Amino acid sequence: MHKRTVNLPQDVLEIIVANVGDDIRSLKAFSTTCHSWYLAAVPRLHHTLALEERHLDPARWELKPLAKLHKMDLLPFVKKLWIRAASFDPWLSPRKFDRQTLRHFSALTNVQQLRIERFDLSKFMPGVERYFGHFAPTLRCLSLTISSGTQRQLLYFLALFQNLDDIEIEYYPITNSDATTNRDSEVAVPFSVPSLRGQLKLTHFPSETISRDMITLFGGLRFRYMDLFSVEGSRLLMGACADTLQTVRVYPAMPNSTEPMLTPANSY
Amino acid sequence: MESAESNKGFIQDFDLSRFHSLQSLEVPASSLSQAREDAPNLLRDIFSTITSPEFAEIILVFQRPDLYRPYYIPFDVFREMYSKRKFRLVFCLEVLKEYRPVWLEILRQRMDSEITHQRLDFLASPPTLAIRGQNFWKGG
Repeated sequence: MHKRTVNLPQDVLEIIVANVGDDIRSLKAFSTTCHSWYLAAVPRLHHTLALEERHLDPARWELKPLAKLHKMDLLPFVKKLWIRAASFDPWLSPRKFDRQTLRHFSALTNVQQLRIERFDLSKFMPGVERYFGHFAPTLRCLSLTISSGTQRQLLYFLALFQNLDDIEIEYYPITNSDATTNRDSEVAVPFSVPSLRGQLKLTHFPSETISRDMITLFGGLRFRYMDLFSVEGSRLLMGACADTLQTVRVYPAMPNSTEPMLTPANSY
Repeated sequence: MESAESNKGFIQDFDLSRFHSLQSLEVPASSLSQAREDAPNLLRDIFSTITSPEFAEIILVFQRPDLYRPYYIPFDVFREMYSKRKFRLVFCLEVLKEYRPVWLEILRQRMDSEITHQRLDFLASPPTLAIRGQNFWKGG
């Protein structure tokens, strides 16, 4: 009986794993049955990786999990990467990447969704592609929460990912470029045009200029879904997608509302 | 006067007549039941700008906090909108990281209650129930 269970065809095992869904505890139990069951479960078990500033287990702080996952050759299974913040100050910076850590981080070659909380883009400029360029072929969804940088830095970062379809930005305070060093002008013009055929979700986005530049530099926008809350230049963004927009979210309470609870990001 | 001007600008922002492929409109339930008395009228005005031949659906979006506080959905306005243009109505639960089946059950009960009280009898077909992630990060 046990032997027959173990020898289930691979496609049947995959159906079972699909039905288990994202229940990590069940997946772990499933994977301990035998080697073939482990192989069926491992892509889903390691589908999502959260790199957390703080965790109950100090061994899982910041970028530490990368080394163990790299040693077990599991990083290519990661499709969703979540870089989480626990404090107000952004913790992710180039200083966190020594040569070995960067090598491990670069082994994340199949990430399709990237979410970064409290990301200070200016710390990675110039040379952001050294750290995030390996996501370019596969990344389709980018989510930035309470992140900052200059307008050109943001555009440059978005343009790294030519297959990017979905953008979600929750609160992006624009950093003024340093007038004395004119650092923002040193940021090169984007070298690729992201696809941008999916969803655009912006919350508290304070710049119409960046919307205009995005439309110009990326040769127009092609989003099919828009959710814009407290966004400067929302009319401009929507107008740019006049031919492609299929679904739009509206907030009828918005004009005079200062209710933070209406903000999706603050609802939990 | 200031409010009227504000509304005018808002409607201009949401002049949906330009979107010839528009299929559905999403409305957070909280934005209808709180903060502004004239929110239902704003929704009706926005709806009146839709010209897309493909338009077929209004999605009422509920988030977890909406399930645990009193709410008011102006279905009389929806009835009025429906008389101008037919649409499907979807009650959609939007969840962030964590999901508990009881939340969907609460929403189902609310929807059933609206049906029982004949607030949705203007619809040709009953509303449907849906669930999805609040943002791109759908759990995990």
